[in-house]
Amino acid sequence: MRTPLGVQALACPLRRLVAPACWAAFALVCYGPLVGFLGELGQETAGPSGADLWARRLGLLWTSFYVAGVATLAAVILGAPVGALLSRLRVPGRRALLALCAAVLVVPPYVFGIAWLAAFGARGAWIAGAETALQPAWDPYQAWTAALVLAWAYFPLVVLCTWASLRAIPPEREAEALLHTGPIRTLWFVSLREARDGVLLGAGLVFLLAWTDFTVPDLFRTRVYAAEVFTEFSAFYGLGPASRSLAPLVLGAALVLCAFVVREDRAAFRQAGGRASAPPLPLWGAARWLAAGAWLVVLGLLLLPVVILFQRALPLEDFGLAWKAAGPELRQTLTTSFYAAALAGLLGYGCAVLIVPHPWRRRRWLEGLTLLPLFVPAPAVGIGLIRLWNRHGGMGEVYQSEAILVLAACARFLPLAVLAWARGLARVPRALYDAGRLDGLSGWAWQRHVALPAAWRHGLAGMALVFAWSVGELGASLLVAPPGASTLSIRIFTLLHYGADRMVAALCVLVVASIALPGFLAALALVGRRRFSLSR
Amino acid sequence: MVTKKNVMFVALVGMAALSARAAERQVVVYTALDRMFSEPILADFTARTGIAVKPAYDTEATKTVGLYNRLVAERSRPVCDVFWNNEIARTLALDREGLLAPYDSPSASDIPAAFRSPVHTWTGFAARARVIIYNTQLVKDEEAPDSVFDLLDPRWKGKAAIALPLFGSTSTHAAALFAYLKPEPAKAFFSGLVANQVKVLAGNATVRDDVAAGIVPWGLTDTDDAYGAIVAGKPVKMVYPDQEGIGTLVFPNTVALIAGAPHPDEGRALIDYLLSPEEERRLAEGAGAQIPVRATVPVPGHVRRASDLRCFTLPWEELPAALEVSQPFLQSTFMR
Repeated sequence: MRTPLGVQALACPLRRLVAPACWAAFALVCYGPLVGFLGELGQETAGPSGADLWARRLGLLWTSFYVAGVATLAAVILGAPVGALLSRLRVPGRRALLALCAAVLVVPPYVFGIAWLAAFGARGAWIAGAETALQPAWDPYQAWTAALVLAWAYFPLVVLCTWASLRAIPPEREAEALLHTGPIRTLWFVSLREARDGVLLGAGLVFLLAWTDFTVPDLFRTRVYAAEVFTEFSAFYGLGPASRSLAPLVLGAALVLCAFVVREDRAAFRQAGGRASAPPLPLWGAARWLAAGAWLVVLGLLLLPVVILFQRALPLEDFGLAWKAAGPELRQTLTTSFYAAALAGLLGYGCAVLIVPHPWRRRRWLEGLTLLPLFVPAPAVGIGLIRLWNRHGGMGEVYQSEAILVLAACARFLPLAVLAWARGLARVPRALYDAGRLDGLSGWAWQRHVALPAAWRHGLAGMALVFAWSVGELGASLLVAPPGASTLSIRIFTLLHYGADRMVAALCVLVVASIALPGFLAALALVGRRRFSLSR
Repeated sequence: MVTKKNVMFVALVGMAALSARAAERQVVVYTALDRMFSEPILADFTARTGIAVKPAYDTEATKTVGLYNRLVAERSRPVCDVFWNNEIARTLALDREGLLAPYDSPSASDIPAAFRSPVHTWTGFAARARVIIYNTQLVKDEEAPDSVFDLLDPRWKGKAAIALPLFGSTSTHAAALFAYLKPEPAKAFFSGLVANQVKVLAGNATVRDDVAAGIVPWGLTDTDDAYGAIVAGKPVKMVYPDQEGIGTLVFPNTVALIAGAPHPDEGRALIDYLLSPEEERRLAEGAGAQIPVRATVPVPGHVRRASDLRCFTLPWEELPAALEVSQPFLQSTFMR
């Protein structure tokens, strides 16, 4: 019995005082920059205008759409079948592979881009032999290569969404199909069809992330909209023009998110939470080889970046040099990410307490609103933070300190913690509340002895995600990093232009190592527990 | 267990840490010089003086201009103490905006007057030159370009590269050409680059890398970038352009104290350190192969003195006005 918690269940001081305070803090941290950014839209500023400007912007928007579209298509083509195979076929080690998929999701996409260029770029180790034969035909810096790299980075998202939705489909449909046809046809025509909402959700998330990313296109010298605006702003410090330029991206992200909230509201797979998962399909003949092939391909794709970068950074002494050279950045990155995760954990719990009691449909919309800042382009968050915090007095002191990096990370990733806590708290059975009330537990005691122990795994997963994504944050911190403070991502981004390939590769391995532990914890919490599903 | 005693202890430790931090002497420097060159110098300054340096570097793609605009944006509440620019045009523009404070550094007494502000608002040192870099596997020595105007030669259509002339030294070079050629011929020159399909890349280091990788046969870059590729054993050579014509553009690093700097004394100390002959020599001997502006500073064999070159001569004061004309035109021509 998993009846959602009623409003009265949380009628305690936490809900009356602390939770609204957490929401106010959430609004300041996540929506404050957005409001600051929107406030700049109306500012009168000199700058290019007219038909030429709009023609150029439309061209850039098209490039962004092309890159995000191709990335989404490739991620779905690769991720959906793999997710289906891992979900419905009894493949050895599939849980480990799923955990790896989840862990890889927190690796910043630019790491994949750098790995690609290290292997197949102009000075790439894997292209060196074929260099003469390919030239001049081979140009590594193209829009489609940027799209493929983004697909490489984000396809595990489609794998996980497909897997999660397939776990929730009614088992009798597959059983019925298996009476008439084999497992592969059943998987293709019945299971995947039933899981289309999950695949679509994964595709939508990939599209949103690729649409707002500028790091990979920048590496591949593809002028996408977000990269152009970032360059314009970095160069000219024009808050108004940059905000106006970014508005279509923010609007696009909001529209796609709305479409998905509406879509998910109607989707059937979410309603299946709590049902028994369909049993694995019987595996024989060609299916066995197919599953083994999928396993190896996915493992290869997931581990390849680290292998390439490790190979590029050799000899081992170079890791020592990188460690020494980037020590302050590494410390700053870990400190910033730790504080961001801690803050997100605290605020996330408080916010979730207010989300959970609402009826399902309203809750979806509240969660959608909570998620929006996650898909706002990072430069827009940076601009908003400057607008909001760069003032005289106490706010200015915050702006000039390392705390602004924590705020930048929270502004982008705090929604992950809120959502994780909300999903965890939503699964606390109503019966537990009643039992606590009968025992005479106060609201605080109920939170402490019932809600927290029941939902801590989700909270931990959310905090680990915030930590890991904060390690790779670049777009906002690049704009707001105060003098004397720099992160690993900023260091990598700066070094990239100086051709310090081996140092960059070693630093990327350091980034992966920094997020490996929390990434693995998040992965275990997300896919290692049967109690968690994307459905509730 | 949380007790009153524990809370007080934590508060005391926190206050002690904060006051120790506040007592620390520090200087904030915005530097456009590549981090790999500037970071060791700033670290040595801290080691010698005990003054902590908080540097802000800029990215290659928005070289100099990003820091310039940040300084302008912060004018009402300056954060920066010292601006260490790797070129001169934007420093002069800041001077014109009234954002620089005068400081006559004793270290600058032997720097030629041509590299110093008459009112001591900025000082030049350690120069670089705009050079042609070409790939020796794609271009024979005897066919190598030797003028920036070769960018317009149909022979090189689609085979040459420059950095985006809105940023860094390429922007300074463009402004210098606007000042020297006058606006209309300069506009014709840059429009000609577009017509001749000159590749416009993110920065001078990118130009160097693409030439070294053979993606483009040749391009325009700075001496420090070109020298880096030569030292790394890449198949490239460097040419000082226009030795038979208008001359090569040689431009200094510049350093200036920001008006209203929060740490003026520490800023002056850093300026004194940077302008010392020892540091200029170090920059000449380092991987950046900078050209000393003092005749008395010895140079290694691979560094050519400005006096050995035919230099593009231009009164520096003309650059800010030229920038104002060149930037809008170049933005509309090259902003992708």
